[in-house]
Amino acid sequence: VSATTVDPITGEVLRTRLDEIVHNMEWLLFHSGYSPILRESYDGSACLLDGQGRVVAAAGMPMHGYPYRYHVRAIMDRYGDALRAEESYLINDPYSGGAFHVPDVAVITPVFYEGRLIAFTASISHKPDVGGLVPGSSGAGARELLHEGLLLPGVRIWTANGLNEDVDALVRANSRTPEELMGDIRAQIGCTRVGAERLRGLCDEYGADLIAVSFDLLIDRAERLLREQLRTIPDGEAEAEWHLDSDAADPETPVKLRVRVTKRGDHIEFDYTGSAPQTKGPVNIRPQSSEASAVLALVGFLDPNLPVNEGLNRLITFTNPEGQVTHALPPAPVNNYFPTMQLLYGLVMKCLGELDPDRAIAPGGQGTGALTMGFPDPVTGRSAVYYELMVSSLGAHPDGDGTTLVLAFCHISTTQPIEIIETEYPVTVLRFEPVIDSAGAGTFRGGPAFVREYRALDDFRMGLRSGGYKFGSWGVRGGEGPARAGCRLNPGTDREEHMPALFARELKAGDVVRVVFAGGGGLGDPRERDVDRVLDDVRNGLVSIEAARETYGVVILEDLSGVDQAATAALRVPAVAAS
Amino acid sequence: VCELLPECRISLSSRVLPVIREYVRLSTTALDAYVGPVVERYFIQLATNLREVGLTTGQSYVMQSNGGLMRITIAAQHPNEILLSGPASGVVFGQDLGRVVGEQNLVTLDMGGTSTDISVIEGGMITQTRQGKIAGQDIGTPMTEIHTIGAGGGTIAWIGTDGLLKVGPQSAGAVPGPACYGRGGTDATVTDSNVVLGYIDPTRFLGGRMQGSAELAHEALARLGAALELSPLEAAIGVNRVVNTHMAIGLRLTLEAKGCDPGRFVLVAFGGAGPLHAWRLAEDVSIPRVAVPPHPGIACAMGLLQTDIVHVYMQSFLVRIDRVSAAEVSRRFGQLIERARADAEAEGFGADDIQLFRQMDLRYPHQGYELAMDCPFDEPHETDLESLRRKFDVRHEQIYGVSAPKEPVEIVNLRVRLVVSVASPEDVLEPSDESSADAARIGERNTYFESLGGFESTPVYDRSLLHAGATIPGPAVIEQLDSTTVIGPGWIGTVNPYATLMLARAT
Repeated sequence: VSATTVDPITGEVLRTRLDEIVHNMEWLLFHSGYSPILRESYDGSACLLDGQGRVVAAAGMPMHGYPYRYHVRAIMDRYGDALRAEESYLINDPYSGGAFHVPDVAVITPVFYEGRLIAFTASISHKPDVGGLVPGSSGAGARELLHEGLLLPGVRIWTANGLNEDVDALVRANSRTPEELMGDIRAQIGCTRVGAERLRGLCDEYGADLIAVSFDLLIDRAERLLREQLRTIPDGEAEAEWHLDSDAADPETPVKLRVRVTKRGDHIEFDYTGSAPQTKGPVNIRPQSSEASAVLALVGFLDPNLPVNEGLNRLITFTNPEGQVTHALPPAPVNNYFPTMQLLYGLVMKCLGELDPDRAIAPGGQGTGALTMGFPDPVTGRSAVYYELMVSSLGAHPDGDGTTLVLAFCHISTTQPIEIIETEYPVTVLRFEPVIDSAGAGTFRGGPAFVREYRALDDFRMGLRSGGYKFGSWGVRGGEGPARAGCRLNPGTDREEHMPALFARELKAGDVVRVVFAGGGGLGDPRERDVDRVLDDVRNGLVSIEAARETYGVVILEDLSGVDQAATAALRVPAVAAS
Repeated sequence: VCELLPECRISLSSRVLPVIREYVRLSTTALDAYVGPVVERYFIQLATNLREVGLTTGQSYVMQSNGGLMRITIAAQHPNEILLSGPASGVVFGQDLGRVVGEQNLVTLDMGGTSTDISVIEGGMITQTRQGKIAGQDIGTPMTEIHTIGAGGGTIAWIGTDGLLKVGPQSAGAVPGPACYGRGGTDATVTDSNVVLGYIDPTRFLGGRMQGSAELAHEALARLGAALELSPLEAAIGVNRVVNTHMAIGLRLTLEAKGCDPGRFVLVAFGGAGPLHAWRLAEDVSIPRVAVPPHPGIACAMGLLQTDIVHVYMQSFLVRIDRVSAAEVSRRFGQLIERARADAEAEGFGADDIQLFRQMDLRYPHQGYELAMDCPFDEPHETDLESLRRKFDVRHEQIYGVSAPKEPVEIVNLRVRLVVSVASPEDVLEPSDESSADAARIGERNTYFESLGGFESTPVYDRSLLHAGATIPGPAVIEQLDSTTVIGPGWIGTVNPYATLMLARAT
């Protein structure tokens, strides 16, 4: 049998059975992990790769598909014939492996059947702390990779005797949150080893040869589905560029990102030539990150149901010169990869929208990343690290308004429940609410910005790694850009300070941190927005009466009971006539 | 608010769902506020109307999503407790069937026209969840955990853009229904493939009261198969395999999420289509036995008559299990039990009518999800807490593949479940002088079995003519008004004294 001769029934059965395995692993990971990042924000994933290290199927955080292939390749290079079924390996190196940044620790378990290496089961989860300069490990102050935490180049965390206590001790000794770190790693070991067992069970049932063929089939299938989708957009070229605020090392200099997309037939190229040289500060990214950004944008644009596996790579080429911010070389720090990836994602989307304007999607708000607060734990004396993934709202799409408050290109992450934060950390959340007039206006508007305000009940070390505070994002096809993200300390007091997107410093008990999560961009002329939708927005506190009139050309009655139709018509006529 | 707006119904989150995580609590409270006025009006009206038509019974109860009953007047105040009560009654049915036949570990498979509901009953207890969804909204009210799959008799087969054969989740429903119904449906459905494979006789739907057409089923599968270069039979085999795979995955994931070994379970198959697919699913999932109740098509309705009054009392109590005294645990359970007894009394039940069950939710510190552990004690001793902790390690290892016996364990919640048994219909007992199945044999027809290499002439039995003690070796087809049961090759069926058809692997 080969992938081309498997009948469409067996193919579907095996596809769903492999899917079952990764979803089972994902469930185990999220339900047994320790850290709130994993169990509340779901910043983790599970993956099945074939014996050659090609990604076959994955579940959880969608962008992790690209790190896995680099990680497994590194493990294969390092161990070769010394890989053992009873072992699991720990890896987080962004250079020799495929991590976006050091806290994304992966566990890789090789799967053997009848003495033959047939696959790998793997899991990535973002750790609350792996050492480094600041609580949470990722900080604005990093100037080289070794500032970003303990590097694990693919070491045995699990052996025939169970947990490798030497590695366990080493990892614990290098973390501010050893229990959570090892609890998450144990969950990863467990889920990959259960996944390996399930896969062996599938080999018992169907034979290892057919299972190997089913891997090819899934990879071929992804290629086929992408090929069909690529044919639905016109051939052409498009370019886009935008800036990150700075690299934190040189606060005054913006960092340029540039993308050129060339689509011909059933092939597409992403070219990052012309982006800024790699920076001293930590906004650099590695190829796994720049590739994941483009592929997720492509999948999101074409069909979010496309499976993200090795098959897609057959139709995609990357041009990404070394030494750029999009392809950093050692020892450049990479911990603030997220805003860079998100901006690249937005730029790729922008290019695709120019190739096929009917399907254009406005970008989500820039300004995602993470906020950390490190506290001394009163019980253990070690630090507790509160870690919040910064989300934003999404941009408008051709069928409707942008969604609120999700991670703008990892669409599954949620904000942490305030009650969990307040129970587990010395923090009070004072406000969490939408910001009026913050959504990018348009025929369809983006999601609104949100403000979250924290008061610390203990002295703490604050770290923020975000972006887009100066340049924000944009609207498409006549839509407007949204309000930008931002951070202020002690707002409304004489100690008020506006903060940059990337900083780390010591703060005192009682200090207040106000963070604004950016809104999403708008799509189409705001003056063509449905009048009732504008009225709803005003009633819901998302749009002011003034903005309804000035931006949308809709006159809302003062008591919000309805719309002044005549006045609205008068305001809107010139706009329609002009268009 | 009550002073200013006395007529206003209030949904207060601290009453609707007093547990941590604001979003789920808000969402649940919003659901309560949305459906509350309608439900309240309806129930009050219903109670009045029932009285007016002279229907006076002490048993006017409403089913809750957790599989228990509550008085209609109380239900009017807690609409969020009843939103998913329909499917829950099927699970209660399975629980009761288990009680009757003496089985503690069951997994229910309720396969109807559009979907299949799967739920696990372990140790005689229905599984509860606090992470439900209704109409896309999160609901945190404890409810019967049910895994729903878009796979039923009317589920449509189609060809995906990847060229593979897909089944569901779209369904042809009852109208137009499967192609073989002859009501204008042209899509090939699961039922159509069962007709082509000989499992269902379309001339005998509803005991012959509805006439279907085997030809229409063949034509539908021929159309589906043509596009894949498959014969109608190959297409039918494919539809059957794919839909069985979906259901088998659902069964496995549901059992694995609880760390359950399928080998200890009985598959309770009902809904119109459940008994047809059950033996094959049991084989795929390694469940050794299947129970098919006397009237699979009306199991959910039966469940409503078999359920008990249930109230759950919960208290958050975050403490390390090795740092709390047994006396303190006992005291806190005592408070919950006091509330339970008071409520039972207010509902008119005495101390002898009620049963109480204690549970603790345990986890390792830092974990966000707990495991509910039964407390096999009334007054705990220190050693009981230690042994509970060790049981937790074992259970954690079963479910997640690892455990941490050297780490401390935390109690998160204490829970007391109050159960008041309500009189159920009499269990059906059939006289068993005639135990041979021969009298029930009404003919034979060609049916397809993969393990037999194709079609085999297979005996057909009439369920209503089967007596207790009758034994039927597979392959066999058993027809009845509301369902069709298939016994596969290598399986054997026995009618037990409660008129339940038990299938097991022949030894």
